[in-house]
Amino acid sequence: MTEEAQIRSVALFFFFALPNESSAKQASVRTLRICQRKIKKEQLESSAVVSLLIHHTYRQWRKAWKRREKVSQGISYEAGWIIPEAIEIGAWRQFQKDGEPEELLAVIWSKILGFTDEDIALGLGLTVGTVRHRVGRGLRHLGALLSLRGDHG
Amino acid sequence: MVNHDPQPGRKVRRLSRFLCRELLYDYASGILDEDRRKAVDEFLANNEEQQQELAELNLAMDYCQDLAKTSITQPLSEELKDKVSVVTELSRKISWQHWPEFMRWGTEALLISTVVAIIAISIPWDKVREMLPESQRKYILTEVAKKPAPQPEEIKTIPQAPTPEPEEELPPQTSVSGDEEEETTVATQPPPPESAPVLMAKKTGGPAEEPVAEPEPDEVETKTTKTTVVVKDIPEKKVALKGFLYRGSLSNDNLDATTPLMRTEIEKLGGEKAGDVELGWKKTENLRYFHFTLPESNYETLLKTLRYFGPVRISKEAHWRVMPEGKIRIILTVEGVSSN
Repeated sequence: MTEEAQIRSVALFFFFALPNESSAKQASVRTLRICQRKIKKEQLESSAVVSLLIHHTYRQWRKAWKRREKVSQGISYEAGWIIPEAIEIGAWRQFQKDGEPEELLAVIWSKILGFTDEDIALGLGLTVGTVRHRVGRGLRHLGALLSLRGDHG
Repeated sequence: MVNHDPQPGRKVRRLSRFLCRELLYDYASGILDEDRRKAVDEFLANNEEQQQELAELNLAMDYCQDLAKTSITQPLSEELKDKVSVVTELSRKISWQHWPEFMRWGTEALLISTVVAIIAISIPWDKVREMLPESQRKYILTEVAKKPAPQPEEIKTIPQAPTPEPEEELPPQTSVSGDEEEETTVATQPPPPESAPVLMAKKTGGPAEEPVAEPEPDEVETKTTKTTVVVKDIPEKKVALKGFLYRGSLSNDNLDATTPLMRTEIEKLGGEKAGDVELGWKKTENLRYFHFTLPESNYETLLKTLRYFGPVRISKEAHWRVMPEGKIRIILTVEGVSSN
């Protein structure tokens, strides 16, 4: 996994997991700093790097999530994240608010960042079945929101 | 329902709605085995609600695929990279291992000295000193050996008898109570023949080196002397001056005649000898010494009586010794004056 790929994965994760861009940036910097130091120190292989990213994105997300009410809720998407034009982000924002955090994160790692269930399970210390269960529930919840809004596609 | 039986004799269990729902994601992902997939297919064929859920699931997966196309701009990527590298580099530089040698030693020395200073300040040294055994608190400050006097005729001879009046002359710490330790002791002993002047300070190991106190001042000046001054570092006992002493003087031109009369008058007024010597003791040829106690009520009468013998001056001094209620203690010296 290249450094650019790490930066992209971490930045996208926090963009979709946190409610605003400034906290997403701060969390990204912290996570990348920790991960890069560990990668250099321990000479990790590519597969281990993914698990490391998952582990530390989760830890940083928990810290940022606790502080989420103290930061501005205003969202601006001009700060560096480019969403495809046809995509309406409203359903995702609703999912961020209503969904279970574990399901939200599992969907991001699995379906947006494309990490394998095994890597996710390894990074979080869970079984693959638990991860798949969370992803399935998250997708059903997100699908229901999309169906209600009728704004996808 | 499902009665799909792949092997003869094996009964395939029918899926429940809950189980079908739980398998839906795996079904949509295409990772179910053939039997399960067919079972879900059959369940879905008869259940519109699960069909709807499957459609929503697929919708969400498509939506996520679209979201996965989100990218980050080059400036953001650079910004993150720079921040991370700056922070990483900074933290690497300020890490302890990369400090210059002198900075590390200096910091360590500073920390240690600070800790030692804090400890030294916070320890109650007075209490520590009190807890030490007595023998460790004796110090010899000086040992001085005097050279032999060159001419024997310069040796002074000291009067023989010790002065018996010292009870009032000595300070309270050194005079009366035998169990109180003396604060300062002067000891004398003959010096070694080759003794030269020595000035040193050393700590004694124990009581064996403690010099013997000699109260007689007579021996202080001898032909050759070695004087050891021992100062014991004991906590000072301050004796409160709660009592009083009347000290007076009187002048008279005929001591031999008036002394017995004065003694008689004093005894008439209830005066009693105090100390070791008799009333009117002949201290010197020209001085008589009266040390006595008297009922306080007779003090004024005594004054009047004494004035017959000459001018009297009496002062009242604070003293550590407390007399019984109604009694006072008086030291009167009568000095002979020439009638001329």
